Amino acid sequence: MNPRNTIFFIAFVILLSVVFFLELLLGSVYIPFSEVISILLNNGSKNGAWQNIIIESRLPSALAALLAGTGLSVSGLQMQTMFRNPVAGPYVLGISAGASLGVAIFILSASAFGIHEMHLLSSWSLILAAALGAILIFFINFLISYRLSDVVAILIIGLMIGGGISALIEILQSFSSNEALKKYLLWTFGSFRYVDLNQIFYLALVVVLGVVFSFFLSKPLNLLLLGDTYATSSGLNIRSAKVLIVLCTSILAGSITAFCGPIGFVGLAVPHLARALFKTADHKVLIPACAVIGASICGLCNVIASTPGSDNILPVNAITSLLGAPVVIWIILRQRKF
Amino acid sequence: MELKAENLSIGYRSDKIIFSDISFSACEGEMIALLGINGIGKSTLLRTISGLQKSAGGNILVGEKKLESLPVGERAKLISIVLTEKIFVDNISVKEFIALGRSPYTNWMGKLSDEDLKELDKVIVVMKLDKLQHKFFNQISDGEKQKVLIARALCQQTPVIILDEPTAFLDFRNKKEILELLSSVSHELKKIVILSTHDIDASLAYCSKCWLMTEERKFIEIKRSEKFRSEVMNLLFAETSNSHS
Repeated sequence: MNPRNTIFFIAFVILLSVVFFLELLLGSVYIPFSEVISILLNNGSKNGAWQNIIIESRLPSALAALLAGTGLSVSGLQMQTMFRNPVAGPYVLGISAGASLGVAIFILSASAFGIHEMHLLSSWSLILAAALGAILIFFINFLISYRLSDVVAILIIGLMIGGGISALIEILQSFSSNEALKKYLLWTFGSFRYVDLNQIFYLALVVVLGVVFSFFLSKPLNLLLLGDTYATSSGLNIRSAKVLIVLCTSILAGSITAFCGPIGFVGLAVPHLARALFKTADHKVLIPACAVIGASICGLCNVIASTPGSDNILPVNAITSLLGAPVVIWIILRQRKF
Repeated sequence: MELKAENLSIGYRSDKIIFSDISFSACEGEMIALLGINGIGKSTLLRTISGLQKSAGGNILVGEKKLESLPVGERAKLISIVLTEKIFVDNISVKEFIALGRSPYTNWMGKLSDEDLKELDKVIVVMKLDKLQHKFFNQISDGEKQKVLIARALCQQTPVIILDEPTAFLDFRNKKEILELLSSVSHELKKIVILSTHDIDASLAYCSKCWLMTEERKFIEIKRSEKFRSEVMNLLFAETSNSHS
């Protein structure tokens, strides 16, 4: 990383720390600054409820936001490079839809088959359902992009797959109990608050492994920038590289979607911000850059979603989409110049 | 180092052969123009020689080694390519772009060693890209981009460089400059340079020989001589007169 980018990176790490602290400080319940510090330093608090709120609720949701932002952005970056498509991302190419399908089948069909003891369904099976759904859809996209080089065709097919999946989910919904329906609907709103401190460990494990693994894929990703033919002639085994990228991105996007619900636009917009700010195409720089930018932005969205001072909680998916959509429009307008 | 083809057939499957009975040999220091009408199979032949596409029969030998038995990593140290397709990559500097050519030699993280950096600087000087090296690839002209693509291939340090229509989309001055550079590369760096082109006159001025793919599906090699140009033209004119009759 050159000096300019090192400064950018450090600036984002500081921003991320500030945002992370804001996530702990702000929420529907007012907790004084000094108390937050005291709780974090493990000195306890005069109010046991405050301690509970910080440790059991705000800390896991702040960590979930950090992990989700990191993982989705890194996964989006890889997809944009692999598809050589600036509007690729977990959301547009139907991975979130795939994960939704997995979760919908899981939650809704459990109810349809009369299994009501939802608490028996462990977080691992939820991850698995979402990841399987995500991998299934990503492989379909992958096979299509393997045969077609036309970007527009791939996107349209991605949209159609998304449409087909919504239809399937609607059919499932019509057979489900109200309780299951509500559970699923809440899941689709997206939230960093469903994850408790025990589950955070699993999410962290998957995301950290996924991001480290992505970093190890930097060289193949850099080679893929020039397209498959140049990459092959530079000595890259395209097939195995692409399979690894598919697995890595699907597991990242799939597990995050399983835990936090669909979080739109982060995976699509953050890689563009990273490229624009760090002025590089090198994935060794872009992957850490996406990680810090994505984590900061998701943290910020988490703060906004918690609407400090009020009892309302907004759907995170709505916030990220409201912030992300303008970024995507900006990308398209900027590209028209060329 | 010698590049040889023995009774090579090209095509997408063995039952879809588009050109057969191709035999040739090329030695280091030679620059070869591949000529023929659109759709005759020039690109397919170049892709096959590059190892990007399986042959439909026959052999390609690079030195003593059979091309098709080589793993991708080994092939990348023998043959580099420059394609016609336009490349759109934002935020990559010319120097970073050229450095991608070092990937067959770098470690799994793609870190450039001192030797890689030395080769990179050497290539930048050879291709006269010193002034452009810190610019972004998407901000330079088409002619400059072509030079960068050639520099990337040179950086790969392969005895064979294959270029698919390197002079297409270029104005006269850029064409001349690119062909001059390629010619000096083939002589001075002792490389086999094979390029397909439709710029017959321009390419004949610089090539040591040319390969014709005629409409009668014959593969003909013509060596540089006093009557080089007229020979090539006769064969090409023969083609057109045949196709009109």
